[in-house]
Amino acid sequence: MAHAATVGELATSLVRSLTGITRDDSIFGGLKDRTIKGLRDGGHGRVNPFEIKDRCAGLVEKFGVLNRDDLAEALQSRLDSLPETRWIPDVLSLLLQLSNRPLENASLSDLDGLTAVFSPPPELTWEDIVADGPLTDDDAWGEVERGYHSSGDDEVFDGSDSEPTTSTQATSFAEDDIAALARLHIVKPDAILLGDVRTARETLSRPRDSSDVNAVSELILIRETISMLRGLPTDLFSVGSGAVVSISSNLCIATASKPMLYHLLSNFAEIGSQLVFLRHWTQQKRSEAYVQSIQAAVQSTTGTIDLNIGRLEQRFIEPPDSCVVSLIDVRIEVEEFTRAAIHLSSIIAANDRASNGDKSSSFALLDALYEEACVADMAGDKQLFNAIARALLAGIRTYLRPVLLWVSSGDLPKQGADTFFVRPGVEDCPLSEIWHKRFALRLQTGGRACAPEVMQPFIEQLYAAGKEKAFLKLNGHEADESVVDAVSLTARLSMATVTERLTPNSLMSFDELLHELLQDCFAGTRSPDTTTLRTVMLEHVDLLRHTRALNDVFLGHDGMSLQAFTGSLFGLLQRGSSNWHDKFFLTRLVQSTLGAAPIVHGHCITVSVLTDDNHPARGPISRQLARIKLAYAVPCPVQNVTRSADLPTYSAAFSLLLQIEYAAYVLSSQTFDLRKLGFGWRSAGPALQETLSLRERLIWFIGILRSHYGTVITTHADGLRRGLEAANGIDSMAEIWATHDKHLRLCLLLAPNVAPLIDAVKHILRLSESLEDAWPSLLDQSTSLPAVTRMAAEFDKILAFVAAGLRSVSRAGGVPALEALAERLQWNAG
Amino acid sequence: MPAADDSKRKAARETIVGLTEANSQNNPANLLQQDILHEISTLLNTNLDRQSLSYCVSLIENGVNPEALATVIKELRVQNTRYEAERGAAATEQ
Repeated sequence: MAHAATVGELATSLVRSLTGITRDDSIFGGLKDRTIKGLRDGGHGRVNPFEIKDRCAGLVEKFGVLNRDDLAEALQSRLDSLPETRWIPDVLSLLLQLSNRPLENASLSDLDGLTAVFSPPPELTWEDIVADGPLTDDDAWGEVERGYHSSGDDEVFDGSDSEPTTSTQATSFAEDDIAALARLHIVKPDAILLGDVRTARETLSRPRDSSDVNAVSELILIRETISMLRGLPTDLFSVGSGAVVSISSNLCIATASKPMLYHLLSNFAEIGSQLVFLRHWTQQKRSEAYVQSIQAAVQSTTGTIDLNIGRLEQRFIEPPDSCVVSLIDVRIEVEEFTRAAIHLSSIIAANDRASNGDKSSSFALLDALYEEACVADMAGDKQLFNAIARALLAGIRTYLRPVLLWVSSGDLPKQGADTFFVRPGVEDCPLSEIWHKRFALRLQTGGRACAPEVMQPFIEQLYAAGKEKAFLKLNGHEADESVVDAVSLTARLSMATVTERLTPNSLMSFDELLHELLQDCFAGTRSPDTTTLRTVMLEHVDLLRHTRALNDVFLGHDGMSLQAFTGSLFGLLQRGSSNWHDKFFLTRLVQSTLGAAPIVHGHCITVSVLTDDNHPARGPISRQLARIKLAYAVPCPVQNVTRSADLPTYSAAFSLLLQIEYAAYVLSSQTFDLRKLGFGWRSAGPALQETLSLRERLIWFIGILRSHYGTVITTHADGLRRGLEAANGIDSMAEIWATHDKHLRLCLLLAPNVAPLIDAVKHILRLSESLEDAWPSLLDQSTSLPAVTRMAAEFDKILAFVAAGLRSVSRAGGVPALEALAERLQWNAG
Repeated sequence: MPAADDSKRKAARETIVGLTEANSQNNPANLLQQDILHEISTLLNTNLDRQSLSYCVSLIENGVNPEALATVIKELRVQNTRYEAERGAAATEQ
């Protein structure tokens, strides 16, 4: 019907156009009917396009033959310019049939007269403008602001309903008529196409609790799902609090049941929730640098997911010949490439819930990623392992930068110092305590260092390495100044390296590989030219020399210098000089005698004399000698090993040594020269004989003591030297020194648990002084035999006590030196 | 399949739109075609003005046989000539 109406209309127009007869004429109707009838005549054959083409070519040739080349060229050019449409042969057939002796009647000048049927729009007049809107506003006739006037400031003119102002038949346009040129290329959007989208949106916008159940196509659901997975707002899904995606529309599709559909959409909603959480988490502001690195790594993972979603979407935008639109297929594909990201999301969400701002779990995220990466590696899940390991390694690389700064320079980081595994100790501690007090390990609850789990095996090593650098720097022994390139060192901790190492070696675990890589990274902080602490201590500070000097100064290693000192000192004491305790005099004396040894720095020796309740100013000389306190100023680095500037063991040993030497001095003096007596030994009385016997035994006792001390000192000195030479750090040196000091104290009977023994020994030594004091009275027979006998019995008793005590101590502590001393004492005593 | 139906509907819509645009008087391609056809018509001395030619083209595009159309046009011209002659004679008698 529409076609017939169209043909009828056209026929009416054709009649009017050809004849000029209007509808008002009486014959118009008949003409029109006959025209329509004639047009419907089906007795004519179809037009043969090839025949028409041949006829046109023949006509052109005829024009040429008949000397009408102008017509021939004009016709040929027009025929060549005609577009090849379906109806052109028919139109040409019509023209050929209607042609009327063109050879005689046609002329090229006729073409010049052809003009386009153009009806320009009526000119705009002031009456039209005023009729449209009277210009009564005050602003209408105001001054126009001079200056740049952009056509873009004007109101947008919708020219869709107006005729173009320039001829569309023109073969060329004015250069400034850009608007017309642009209008030719404008393609109007098809409102019909957008209608489907608008309808779908209205359907999806209806709330889920609405009673209307609307059917939508699977393609629409896929489009909404893809948009939701991208994180874009959609009508089908809504994002609630806590980044939870839910389905917000009540709908169905023709190809699945409603429960099935909602189950599918719920799966997508779960995936979308995880992705939304991940995207929100990567946007959070975090203060920890390593967390920021993990955020960047996770963001690259979500970027990869976006690329995959884009590829999925492209398949529906430009579908291939056989494209299946299936929500289930989309779900399978989405689950595949989001699996790793969903697992990451669950790890991060669990960590956030567990930590909840608790500082003790500063590295909980790193630990969780480390554990999951190891599990994924063991399970052989390459996709999951790659995603988790990438985030883990990014965090470790950033975490290691301040660690490497600490290891290479001994400087604590300024940022993130609260969670660094080293914390500052005593800020203003003296140089002699730098190693032990300047820094300390930061511990978490449970006693573990504040560091990720993967770093725990290296904490002690890193702590000592950084302390070493700081120690050298603070003591003026500048370490190697080359700056460690933390970026290049940590660049080895990358997925490329991990993949390269793990792929050919399937038996190697990720945990083992990571430890190797970290070990290599830390080893890279040391160059062959790096000055080590051990080298500085042994060569620059000359630790061994100072320890040998202590033996010379405190333990009488050089007997001649000791004898020179004690001879001068004891002579003063014997003469009763009142200035013997002058510390300056004593210092000068010590420096000139004990300090004269080549390995001793004499100027480092000082002497002080104690005066307190435990050290009275008057009394036996042996007690006075205990007031003398010797000090040797070892360098501060050495003090970090000895842990003490006073060296109490050595001071106590020196004090005891003085008493032993004094006892030997008084027993061997001229006092006991029998040649002065004027009578022989056999003529001496029993008291005198007993005295001389006691003297011999005291001399024997002192000799054994001296021998024991000499052996102990020599043995321990050798052991100390070997231990210090083999030590690789101050911690081991300090430990060796502490062991040496403890053993020396025990062997020299200076330990608190053997105080009764040393008191007994000192009592025996005081017997020597008592014997010397009693000698003059023995000579004039004023001292009786029982007194001497009493002294001898006291000596025997104390000796037995000392021997038994030594034996028990040696058995309890396993000290061979004390056992040997006890045996020697018992041999001669027995 | 939903995707094929959508594409078919889209293709059909495009075809209709294309035809509509092609039939549109304002379609530049169509106008150019009409120009050329009018010039060919002039060269062949068909005595068809532009308007009539456009009607003929539209009729042919609506499936009218060109030979039938040519016959109708010739007949209309004859009828017109006769009508003109009768009107002229009637005007003279008055």
